[in-house]
Amino acid sequence: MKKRNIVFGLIIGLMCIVLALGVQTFAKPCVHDRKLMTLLTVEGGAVAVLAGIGMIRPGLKSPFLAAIGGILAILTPGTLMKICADEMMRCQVYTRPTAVVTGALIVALSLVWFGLELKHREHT
Amino acid sequence: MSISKLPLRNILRHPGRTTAIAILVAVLSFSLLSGSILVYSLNSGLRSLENRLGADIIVLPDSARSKVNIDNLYLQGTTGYYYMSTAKQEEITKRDGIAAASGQVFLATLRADCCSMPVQVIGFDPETDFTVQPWIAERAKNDLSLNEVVVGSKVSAGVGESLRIYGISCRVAARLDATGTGLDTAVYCTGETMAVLLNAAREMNHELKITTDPSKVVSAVYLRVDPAFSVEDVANDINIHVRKVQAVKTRSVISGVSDSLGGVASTIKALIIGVWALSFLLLAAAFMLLGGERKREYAVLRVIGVSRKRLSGIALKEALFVSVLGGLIGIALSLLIVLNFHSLIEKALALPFLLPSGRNIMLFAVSTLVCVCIAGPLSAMVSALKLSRADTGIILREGV
Repeated sequence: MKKRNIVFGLIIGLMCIVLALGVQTFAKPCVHDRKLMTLLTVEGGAVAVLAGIGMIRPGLKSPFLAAIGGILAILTPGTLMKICADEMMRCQVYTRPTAVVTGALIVALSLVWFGLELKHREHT
Repeated sequence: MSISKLPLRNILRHPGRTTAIAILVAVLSFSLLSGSILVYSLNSGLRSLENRLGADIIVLPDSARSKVNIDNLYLQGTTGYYYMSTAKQEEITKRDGIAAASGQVFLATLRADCCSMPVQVIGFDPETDFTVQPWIAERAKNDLSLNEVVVGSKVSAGVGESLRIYGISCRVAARLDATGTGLDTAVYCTGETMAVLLNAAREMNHELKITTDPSKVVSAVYLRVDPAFSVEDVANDINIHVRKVQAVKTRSVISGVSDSLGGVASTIKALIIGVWALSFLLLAAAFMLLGGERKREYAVLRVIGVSRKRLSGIALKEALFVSVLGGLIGIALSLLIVLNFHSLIEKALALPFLLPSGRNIMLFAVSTLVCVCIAGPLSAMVSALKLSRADTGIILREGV
């Protein structure tokens, strides 16, 4: 296992844990939004698995798919799934910001990881 | 390879070293930008509250004191339910020194369904009003008809859309500017619309605090004092001569908020200074350590003819490039977190909070980048000077 893959895999994994556990605890959406909560947890879990695979089997697929997972996490509350319109509701105050921030960090880290993998591939 | 490309090459060839320094610089820019946006938002929230209250004095019934904290009256989403007869308003208006007076009625706080915050319905008189209408940011037409409302900036209905209150569909005729306070979640309507809403609420068996005709009661009277009179004297005069009411000077409401805000702002400023001092020292130490490790590299450059001045220029350029990288990372993180979590910050602080405009945020971001681009090379200055002045012969002979 390469040091680079371990570092990126672990940081992205940590972001996924924050997202998946966050929407179940401190960033829980309103009562009726069980679907949103489940979807974000599944997305977080899936990206965590991809990050794990990327650590064991380096390649371009894992960071690329992780970046897509991050984009989905950003788009899920509000664009893909409707959330409360009121700005001061839980969905808007906790859930959406948590998903957007962790999603954006996952996307940024995955893209850097992808770029480094691509560079490494060109060299070898 | 040209010497001018050396700093960039050095950065790219040592990703670990570059990342470590960039993270330190990112901490600097994150703390500076986040802190600046927070302090600015708190200050503009206070200014907005000051302007928006509009009145010099607010007269409330005595019962209001037991129900709400007057100092925080407008910071809360709910202004409460307390009423006095319109006869009191007439009595107040007749006192000396009053230039303008307008009454408002606060209706029960409503929660439309599971996914909406309670909204305060406030009835106002468009004829005498001077506190609501000057702040209309967007409007469909000038006059408010029956079942038309003016909404605060945080009410989730646009101009022309409908809002259901107690089953009555109310058309949004105008939208107010944001204040960063509880006023942003209020819905304003005329007395006629208020009567319709009250009847609808009674039909739905809602427990209401208004038992009489809504046109015969007011919750608060907003007063503008004649410039020839002192606000203090007029407030005291009302408190002494009009029974069962209390005149609150808006200055006292604002100064209470201002005190709390001053405390929070000072804490943020102290934190920024602390983080900057610590990060600057750490950066300087990191550059010193790196300089020690790179003595031979610089000595070789001296041997091949690079001047002392050029050598320190290379070191400073490296520091500048890493500062730009770290600065941009810190700025991006700060904007991502502050702009997304601003509602949470507002909720946690419980103070007027108004985010700066996009243009001002850009200005803050650019200023932050400039600051870290000065601080980074400045912290590397000592190390760069030391390296450029080291005796090349000794270093190469030592073999370190």
